[in-house]
Amino acid sequence: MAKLSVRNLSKSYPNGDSGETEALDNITFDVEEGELLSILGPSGCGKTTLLKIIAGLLEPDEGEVLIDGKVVEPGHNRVGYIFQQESLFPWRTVRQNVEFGLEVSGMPVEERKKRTDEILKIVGMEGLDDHFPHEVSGGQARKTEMARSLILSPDILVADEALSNLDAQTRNHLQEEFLRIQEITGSTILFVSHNVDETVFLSNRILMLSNIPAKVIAEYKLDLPRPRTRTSQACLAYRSQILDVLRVEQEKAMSLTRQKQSASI
Amino acid sequence: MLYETADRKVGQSTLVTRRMSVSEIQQDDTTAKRFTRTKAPRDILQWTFLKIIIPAVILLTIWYLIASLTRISLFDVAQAFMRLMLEGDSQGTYLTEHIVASVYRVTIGFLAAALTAIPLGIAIGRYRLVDSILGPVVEAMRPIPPIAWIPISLLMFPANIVGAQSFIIWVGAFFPILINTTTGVKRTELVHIDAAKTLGASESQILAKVVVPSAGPEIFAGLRIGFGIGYMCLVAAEMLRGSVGLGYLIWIMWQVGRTGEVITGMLLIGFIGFLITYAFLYIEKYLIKWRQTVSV
Ligand SMILES: Nc1ncnc2c1ncn2[C@@H]1O[C@H](COP(=O)(O)OP(=O)(O)OP(=O)(O)O)[C@@H](O)[C@H]1O
Ligand SMILES: [Mg+2]
Repeated sequence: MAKLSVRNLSKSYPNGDSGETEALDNITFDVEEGELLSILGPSGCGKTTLLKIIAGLLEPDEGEVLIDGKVVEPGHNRVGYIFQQESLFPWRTVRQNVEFGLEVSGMPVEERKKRTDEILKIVGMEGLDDHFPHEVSGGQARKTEMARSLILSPDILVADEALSNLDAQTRNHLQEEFLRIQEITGSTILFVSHNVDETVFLSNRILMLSNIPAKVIAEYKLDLPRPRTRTSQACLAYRSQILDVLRVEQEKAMSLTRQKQSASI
Repeated sequence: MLYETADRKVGQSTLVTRRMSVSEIQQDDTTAKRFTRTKAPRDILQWTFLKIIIPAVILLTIWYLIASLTRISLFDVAQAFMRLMLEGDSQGTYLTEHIVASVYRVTIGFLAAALTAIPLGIAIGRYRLVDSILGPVVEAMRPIPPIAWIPISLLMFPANIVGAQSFIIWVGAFFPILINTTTGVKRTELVHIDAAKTLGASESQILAKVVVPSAGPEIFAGLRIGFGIGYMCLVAAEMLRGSVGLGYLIWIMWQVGRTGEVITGMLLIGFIGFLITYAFLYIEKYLIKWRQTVSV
């Protein structure tokens, strides 16, 4: 049985005067236990919308989300979420941020402290625990967000372009951290990205989404052993294959907008 | 708001003094190593001069001018102050009793305003239904100046002058606190609420641990502004009726032509307001240190 199943999800947003923006169009896929599945898609295609529905933060128009074979309702909290934008609570220190989930669950202070110390060590943020979010770097903030989600040992972790706004060096480092943490925690991970190199380096499997409204247009299974070398022959082969499909999709999108423009003239 | 800009200006002036010492260092690089991070005694002198002595001199000058325009001197004011302290006014009420009475009323009215306006502001800011029902009600009550409530308040509390005066303070302080709280709550970032939800927080935990701290700076600014307005209303309310309070003191002394006592009362109203506002600013700075970005 799949850990997470997404069944026929569709979602539209109301869009001012011109009716509706259709963001998701009948999306279906499964994620297996312990798998790292990447979702690759052009900007604005509906990736964040998809993750928010999976995490129960948004209601779909149609379709359902199943965890361990059971339908989950909006408002459940079984999915850890690393948001696309900076999401640490600025009024809490690094430690207090990481502790948040345990605190609201009512765990006694001492045990909370012990668990927080452990996870801070795993992500390499020990010693910075008294800093406020505005006093740490972008990469450190990301690690703190990871720790804040992972401390609850969620069955499923979704990461929305978690590493996008970082410089190449920090990003490479955090990609490796991500894999290391996954190995320790055994989490099932859904990793959204628009960076082909990153997804090839990290994933067991890649789903490619079309332009808006998002449909699944391709799927790649990466049978590559880890640790991977970014520039290995196999990695490069996957990259060029994926980039080709993306190029075709991009051209389609451009001709579509050209059609729309000429229609509006 | 006024105090915020004033504070910023003071911040700039310390910056200027620091920059001056930096240029001195560059001129004389043999002594450069001695000036590292510690403030030189000269800087501290300049700081006291700018922040304490100059404002005090300006204040004295202002009051000197006001006193001489009313044909008395600051010496008369000092004498009036001593008389009020040691002998009390014509009814024998000491100055400290007037002060205590005023501070007591403003505290009651202000606390009542904070305890009502903050929860209501949170409800209006967080729940759209409450907003659409109560928003228009608030906007239709808010334009009525607190002073205009004085006659009604005397009718509402016929035998209880402290009640009537506290009510006026409550009206004055309520709306600034309410509006600021509502604004702050509405500004809570959606991603913080979403994050709390995925971490398992319930609605009441979201309110207590996300919405309120996130709106904290605005709520605190509302408290400070609300206190200022409530305090002003108090003095007006005390002038109308009663037998004790700084507003009453000013009014009664004016009627018997004792200008020195009038100015004493005014100075004290200003001084107490100053102390309380600075206390607010101090607490605010401590509580919301997370809002402070990199400082020089
Ligand atoms: N709250 C909303 N109201 C109306 N339209 C929305 C809303 N949120 C998203 N959209 C629209 O839905 C589409 C998909 O948005 P979404 O944020 O899911 O894209 P994305 O794939 O995450 O993009 P990116 O890679 O840039 O983050 C976009 O066209 C966006 O304009
Ligand atoms: Mg997105």
